[in-house]
Amino acid sequence: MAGKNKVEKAFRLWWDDLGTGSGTARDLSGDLVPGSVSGGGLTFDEVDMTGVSNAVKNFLAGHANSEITAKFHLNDTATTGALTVLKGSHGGTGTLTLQWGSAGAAPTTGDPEWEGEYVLLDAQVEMDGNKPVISARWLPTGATAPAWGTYS
Amino acid sequence: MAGKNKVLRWMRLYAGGYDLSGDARAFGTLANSFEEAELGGWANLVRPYAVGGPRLVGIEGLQLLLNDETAGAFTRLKDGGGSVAVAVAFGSGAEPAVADPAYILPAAHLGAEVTLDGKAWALTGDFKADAAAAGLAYVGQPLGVVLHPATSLALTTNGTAVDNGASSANGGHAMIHLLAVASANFALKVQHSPDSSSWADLITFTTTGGSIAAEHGGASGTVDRYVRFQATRTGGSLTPVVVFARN
Repeated sequence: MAGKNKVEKAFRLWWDDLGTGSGTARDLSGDLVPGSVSGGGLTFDEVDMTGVSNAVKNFLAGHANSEITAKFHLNDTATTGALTVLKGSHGGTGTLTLQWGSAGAAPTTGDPEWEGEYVLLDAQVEMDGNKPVISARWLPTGATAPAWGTYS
Repeated sequence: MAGKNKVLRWMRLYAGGYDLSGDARAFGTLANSFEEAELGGWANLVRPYAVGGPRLVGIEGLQLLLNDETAGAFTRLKDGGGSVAVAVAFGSGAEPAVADPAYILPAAHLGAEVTLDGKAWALTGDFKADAAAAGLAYVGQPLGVVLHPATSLALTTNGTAVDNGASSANGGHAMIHLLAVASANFALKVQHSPDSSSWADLITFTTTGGSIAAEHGGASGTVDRYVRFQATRTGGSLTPVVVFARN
């Protein structure tokens, strides 16, 4: 249901399990540390086009970046735990999907979705309060840029 | 027990054969990252990237209390600049057990700075992969599992097998910390098996338990689905912590 109703609890993050999962998409949302996700969409380079006599600095958009970072509980459950999936995928390329459900419900048909091919560069362990977490960082890869779509 | 149950209270730090968990306060990062190579051309809307270099591992900002007892963190780590085998184990709501996650680092000890943490004096250190480590060629993925937790052995013991779900092709590395020894004489190995029934030696540690020590070793090639620790006793007893990671 379209609307001004996208809240954190209805967010989902899927990543291909490149280890023993043979590329199966895994929903890592259950291990996602609240408030830790950053990314989705594009951030364009600011190309400064200002001339000396311009009253206001002015810009054009250059190339875009699409870094995605997130932190996950150190869940070592076989097959589906975030540590298991990320450890097995580290350095690999796969499909990363972010979905925003509406009105607090799980994502469903028509809800916004950001998806593309990404390389997992970081799978580091950090402290978060009184627990260790996996800090993951993805950057886009391949010839096709990630893009907005809808859940289907 | 696998799960979303790893908290700071049940993390354990082993360095050079000593359990320094009682002095460990915090850490910045257990590093595990790849440098990116940016491959964008003019016509790319979005810059694409690929893995651009070797894996970066290390422990940054490890903070320990200034404990100057014989087995204290200050005594063991105050002199940086050398090599030290370091492992971190993550217990699942209890003391680390077989199959619990672990972080393995044959380390060059690069920092040993005294700092104040609140009102407590602490030692803060940084550790990176040791170029002088004999087993460095086998080091890839630092994230692995516990094969044997900190419990005493006085008999020949075949450890519990850890199931990876499938074999792997890029070798692996292991570390042993001997926390306590009493006239110990053991053959200490990491073994692998395709079926948890027929076992072959994968990594054999050179230490036989004669003294408190730590050792790192590795193997290349295929690592079968199941891995376990084996201790074959000739005499005495010892308390080993063994961790292993597949690349």
